[in-house]
Formats: sequence, C-alpha cells, structure tokens
Amino acid sequence: MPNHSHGFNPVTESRKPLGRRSFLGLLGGAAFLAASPTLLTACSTSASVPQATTAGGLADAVAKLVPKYIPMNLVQPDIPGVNGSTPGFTTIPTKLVKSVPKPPGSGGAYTAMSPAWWAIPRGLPDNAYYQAVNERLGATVEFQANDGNTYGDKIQTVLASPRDVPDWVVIPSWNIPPRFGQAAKGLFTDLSPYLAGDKVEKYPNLANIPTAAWKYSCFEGGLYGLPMPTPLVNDAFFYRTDLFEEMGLEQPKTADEYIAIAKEITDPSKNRWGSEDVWNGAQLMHGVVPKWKLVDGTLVNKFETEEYRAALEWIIKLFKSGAVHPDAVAGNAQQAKPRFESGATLMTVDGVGGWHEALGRVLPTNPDFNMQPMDFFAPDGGDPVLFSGQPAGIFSFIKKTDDPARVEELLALANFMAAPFGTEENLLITSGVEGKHFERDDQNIPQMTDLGRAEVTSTYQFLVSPPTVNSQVQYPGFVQAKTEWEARQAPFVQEDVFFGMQIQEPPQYGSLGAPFDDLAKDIARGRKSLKDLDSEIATWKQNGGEKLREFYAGFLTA
Amino acid sequence: MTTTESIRRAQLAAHKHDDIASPPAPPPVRRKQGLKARFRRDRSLVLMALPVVVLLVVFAYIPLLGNVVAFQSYSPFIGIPASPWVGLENFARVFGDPNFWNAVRNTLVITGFQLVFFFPVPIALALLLNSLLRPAMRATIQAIVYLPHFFSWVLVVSVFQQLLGGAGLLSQMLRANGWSGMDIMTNPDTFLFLITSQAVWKDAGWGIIVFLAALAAIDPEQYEAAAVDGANRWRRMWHVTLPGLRSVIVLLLILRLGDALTVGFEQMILQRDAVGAEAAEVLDTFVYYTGIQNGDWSYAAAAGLIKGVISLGLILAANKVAHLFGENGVYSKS
Repeated sequence: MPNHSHGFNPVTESRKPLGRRSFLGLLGGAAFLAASPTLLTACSTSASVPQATTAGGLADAVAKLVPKYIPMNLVQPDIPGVNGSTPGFTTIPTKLVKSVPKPPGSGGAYTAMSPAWWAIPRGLPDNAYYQAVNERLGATVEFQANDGNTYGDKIQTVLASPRDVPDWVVIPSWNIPPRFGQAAKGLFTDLSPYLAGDKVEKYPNLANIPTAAWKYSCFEGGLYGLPMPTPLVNDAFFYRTDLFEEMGLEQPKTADEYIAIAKEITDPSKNRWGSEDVWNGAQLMHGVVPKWKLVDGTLVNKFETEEYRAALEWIIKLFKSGAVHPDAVAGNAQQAKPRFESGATLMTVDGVGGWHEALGRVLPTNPDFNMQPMDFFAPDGGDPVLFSGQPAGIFSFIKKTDDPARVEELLALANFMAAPFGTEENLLITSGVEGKHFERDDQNIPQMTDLGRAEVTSTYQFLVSPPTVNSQVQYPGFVQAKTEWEARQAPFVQEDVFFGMQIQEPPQYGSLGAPFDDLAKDIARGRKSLKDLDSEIATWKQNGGEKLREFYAGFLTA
Repeated sequence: MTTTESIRRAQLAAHKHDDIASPPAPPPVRRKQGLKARFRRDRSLVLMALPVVVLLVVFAYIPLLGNVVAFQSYSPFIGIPASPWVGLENFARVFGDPNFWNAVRNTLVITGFQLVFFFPVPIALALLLNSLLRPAMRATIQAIVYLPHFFSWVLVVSVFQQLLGGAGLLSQMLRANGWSGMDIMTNPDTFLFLITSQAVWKDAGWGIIVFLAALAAIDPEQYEAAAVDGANRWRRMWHVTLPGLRSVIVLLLILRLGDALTVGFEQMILQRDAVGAEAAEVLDTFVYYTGIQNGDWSYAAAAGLIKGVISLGLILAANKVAHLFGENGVYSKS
C-alpha cells in the first residue's frame, strides 16, 4: 500500500517530457490522429451529456451504473470490525474455498501497467509468481511495473498518447490527472453494461465489493474503474516501539508532546532524529478536511480553514526544533522508509498498508524491529477528528476495445483476483505458490521464502481487490494490533461533506490548489510565513477558487 | 552540438590563426555556378549530411508544429484538432504569473553566475593540464576530472547530500569536534554557489576536452619563436595560447548563450524541495510542473515557446557580436 505523502514526488529521470511527448504524439502525423480513438470521441464529446453537476443528479446517475452488492461470508473474522473498522483474521483456515472453479481466462494476452513502491520485480519470463498466477488465470497478464513515487507523471504522459495505453491501467486516486473525464471516455471501457445491477452475478467475487467503492469508481457518467477498497483510516503516525521502549519513552499524546519527544530523541552524533517530514500527519492530527468543510451552509476550502493554518503553525515548530532528519528537510522523501526502518528517524507518517510491508522487509534482518501506529489525538490531547478515507483508494481501467469478449475475459480475470480471504485464489494472489514462495510453519501459517519476498507483490491487488481485511498472520501479533488500533480510532471517524462522491473538477481549476504544495513546504522550512498563506488564498480565490466553490456547492444535498 | 563536431571546429578554428604553417586558402567559391553543377560537385557531401537532416526534420522540425497547443486549451485526451482555440490567452496568463517571472529571474541569475564562475573553469583547467609535461600524469588527471561527467545528477546530488547535508560527513565531523553542524544543502541563500560547485565538479573536466584539442593544434613553432624573442611563460600564454583558443571560446560562448535559459533541469528538480521553489524554480522546472504535474499543457507550452523565442534572440545577438569581433561565430553569411 502506497504512502499518500509520497504521491507527489518531483524526482524524475526524464528530461523535458512535455515537449518530447506532445511532439512525438504529433510526429505520427495525420495517420495517427485519424486512427486514434480520441478523435472519434472528440466529435461526440460536445454532444454528449456532461457529468451531473448536482448531488442528486450524480447520485441518480451513479445508482444506475453500479453492480448489486451480494456479500460473501466465507470465513468469520476472529476479530470483527467495529463502527466500520477492518475485520481481522488471526489464523488461516485449514480448508480453503475454491471460489473460481475453472481457469477464468480463454487464453488472451494482456498488458497491465501498475505502480510499484518497491524494487521492480523480475519480468514475466523470469518470474515464477506471475507465471503461476497466469497459469491459474488461463490467460497472460504481463505487468509493466513503474516507480510509484513518480507514477503520476508517468500516467500523464501515457494517457496523452493513446497508442501507448496498456490493456489494463492502474491509477491511484491521488494520481488521477486533470481532465480525466475526457480520458476515461476516450480511452477506457464503461463497465456498467457488463456489471450494472444483476449482471454482476456472473462475477460473484466482484459482487462482494461494497457499493460505495463502485460508486466512487464512476467517472463521466460511466462505471470506468475497478476499485481497490480501502480501510476506514488510511494513514497513521508510526513510531519505533522497540527503540522507544529502550529509551523509556511512550507515544506522544498531544501536539506539543510530539515535538518534545522528537527533540528528546534527536541526537545527531548517534545519527538519530526524532521525526520524518510529517506534514501529511500534521493535517490529520489537526483534523484538516480532505477538501471542503461545510460551515453554516457555506463551503470553506481546506486551505481556508483554521485547522489547516493550525497544522502549518505546528509543522513550523516541529521543523524549527531541529528534530526532523536533515535529509527529510532537504526534501528527500524517497528514503523516508529506509531511514525509519534503520532507526535514523523514530517517528513517521505512512499509509497503514506500509506497516506490514515494512515488517516483511525488516524482520528477516532485524527480528527486534517493532513499529506501531499511534492512537490519534487532537492537538490538545482531546478526542481526534478524523475523516473517513474514500471508499476506494486505487482504481484500474480497461482499455477501450470493440471486442466485448475481451472485456468479459478481463472481468473474469478480475473476478479471480477479487477472491476474498479464505479462498485458494486469494492465497495465491497474496502469497504465491506453496513450497515455492511460502512454506507453512507448524501453526499452518504461510511464511515467505526468499523467492516469495523477491517476487510476490501487491500488484494484482491494485487491479482489483476484495473488501479490505487484516490477514497478514505471518507477522506475530500484527493482525491483532492493527485490527484493534483501527477499532480504537473508528469512533472518531466522520465522513466529510463530499464523502464517496467522485466529483470531476472542471479542468481549468485542476491545478488551482497546486501552489499550496510548494507553499506548505516553504512555510514548514521557514522560507515563507503564514502571511504568504493569506496572499496565496487571495490568489486562489481570484484565479477561480470562488467559481470552484460554486461548482462544489451544486453537489450539496439541500 | 556533438563533441566530435566541436573538436573539429576547434581544430579548424585553431588552424585559421596558424598563419605561418597553413596551406593557401581554397579558392573562393564561384557564385555563378548553377544549382545543378553545384549539386554535382557537392553530391557526396549532401549525401553524407542527409541522415542528420532527416533526423533533424523528424525529431526537431516536425515536432515544432506541436507548439500550436500554446494557442489552444489543449487536452491530450481529445487531441489537437478537437481542442478549442484560445488565441493568446495562455501567453497573457504566463506574462501575468509571478511564478513565471520568478522562474525567469532564477534562470537568468543562475546563467549569469555560471557564465562567470563556471565557463572559465574548463579553460583554466585545460591550460593547467597542458602545462604538465609527463603524458602519463596528464592522462591520469584528465581521466579523474572527467569521470564525474558520467554520474547521473541523482548520484551527484546524493553524494553532495551525504557530504554536506545536515546528517552528512561535514556536519558529523563538526559535531564530533564540538561545533554545531551545518546544513549547506537546504540554504536557499547559498544555493547558487552549491549548484555551481556541483556543476563544476561534474562537468568542468568534460569541458576541457574541446580546449585541449584546440591547444594541441597550436603550432609549437610559435612558442619557440616567441621564446626566441624573449617572451616569458605568461607572455607566451597571453600572446600565443589565448589567441589560439579565442575562436573556440567565442564559439562555445555563443552556444552557451543559446542555451542560457536551460539550466540543469534534473539538478534543479532534485533539489527543489530542499531550498524551495523561490530559489530553485527555473524555466524548465516551471514548464514541467505546470505541464506534466498539473496537466496544464497549453500553459506550459506557451511558457516553453516564450523561452524558445528568447533563446533564439540570444543566439542571434551573440553571433552578431562575434562577427563584430571578427570571429566566425556559429555561422556566417558567405
């Protein structure tokens, strides 16, 4: 699971890709343009019905597109979810269910593009895991894995060149580019004719995905995405519990305590710093809304809220204290995980999915490694204000094709990949082949082999996933700790005003919020002050912020 | 311009000043010849130039047409033909954008600074190396100084971070000796020195190749003659070596000016977060952020086009100045 704070990363190898791409696109000349499906749809765009601009309109449109929800309860969780928190499985059932009786594919070959927040695994010809899954699929899915930190840029350029679009494309929600509505219509298949309502019965594992995740996968009046459902709480502050105990420290419980403890930990002579750049976490701690907050019937943008300002004030103090690792101050986010895992920093913010990934990386070499999420706290130590993560975090899209059989084959493959916990298919997807990628220990728990660690990744789960569960039983105590942590946070979680609504902003406002990214970095590092926030907000309003507010107001339910 | 090309030019240029030993200049081209006759005469030359011309047309000239998106509200998903035309609106937006002007200012400051503090370094290095007598020593030093050229910017920036960053070698050494650490990598005020020293470390060694070639082309007899006339080392350098290098220096200077608005995209983007956009945003990163990251393609194209036009102006002006000084420059009308 990616770290959201890594979604934006400017590091790239390519040189001036803008010119290169648009130029090359044109290079193909008239032939390419004529053959391109974008041109064909371009003619119809103006005539077609635009996206709904009201909450009611959107809800009505979306309701007709999504599949019926047919839950599948194969295994009772050992720790049930509370208030919508993720259920946990502390054991692996001895008898696994086979949810897809025969290979779903009919021999098709497909390319799939996917982000990787880890070392790019070996390609299909040398990868036993891919080969094994393909064999069970009865089709060939060949992955093109790309660095997840720069995936957004990659998506921009790939989508701009229709010929380069693979058959199946993963796009994390935070990498959805501006004007994506046009792209979805031109490049990808509307899946509603295949899945809407009862039609989904053909794919029972897809029918097991909650409706909210499907609704969130609707763009431009069509069901274009296959969702990867997300947990209630997506991100957390983590701390190195093992090292905290060694130093006789406990997790901070107020905003000031965080800084005090971070300062106490920091000892450059031991190459040890208190904290990573936790700007993302600072916003969570201060209860900053995802996008908009409704105050007395008026929409207030995230950047205009008191919470956002307070989060900035806090992050200024944190950076000023000198407890943030200098490389993090220098903007090197890619090394954040290695720094935390090696003990160079003791507190960080990550996606909750990063937790078990870290355990998988570090435990083999450092069995004492222990990281735990902090219980969220309000800055003053009171109850936190948390906003529910959107129902789907990552989408995949199927390239437009004239051949319905291909779409049906891909959906059948997706049905295989969406097999829930307790099925043979799920074990194959998450752990690979028994005896090769994992061995069962005396408690029947699958333990990864070296080959498994090298080859098995979350790649298939990005294409589509069953409802999220905690089931990484191979890490002692992990499932219990994670499930209980989330259950403790759940009572404080609320839905923001536009929760679960996939609203596509008009393209001219797509980059309106972008300057705030730079500004927050500048303010945290003391290069700019909160006065600059005021002027940036004024600029924002003037450049279309007010129009954007009106646009969003249309989606408010009366 | 490729390196071999520059060397060839350098040799030619050096040759030109070599009045004593040079063979008589070729007879001037007779302008009266017909196109056909001229083609017959130059057939093999034209043939040899053809592949490069084709490459240029395909990868440089045809793509230039893509600049039309600067006059559109372009969306890559509907293509150029379907994107609405907006005239000069994008340019108006660019000119009214303080971030654009910040990028222009940074670019010009960096270019100006590096023109003074980076450009002469390879010349000085080449002169130093040239004064080394033992060929083995010279080859070794040359290899060492131009090796960093082959490191990617990612690596160079990492190395500097490891050495000069707040958790780097220098800071750790200072702390071990009871001083407080210092973080050079995140100081926007000294950023200009930082990037210039990075550029010098990485590329100065590479830059000497052209000058060494030009130095090798200077006739030793000139030095002997000067020595006989009683000129000491400094006088020989001033009156023989530097004039021998002059045309190469002018040529590279012109090319550098044409590139003046291009200042190390990767270097900047890698260190942008460390010092902030106010110090590190240059035209290339500006275009990148608005275009690729924000998806505002037309806006970015307009900014890129403005940059291209200014660059063209700079190169024409520099060439004109070169002619005034009696140099050939990059090209001249025959």
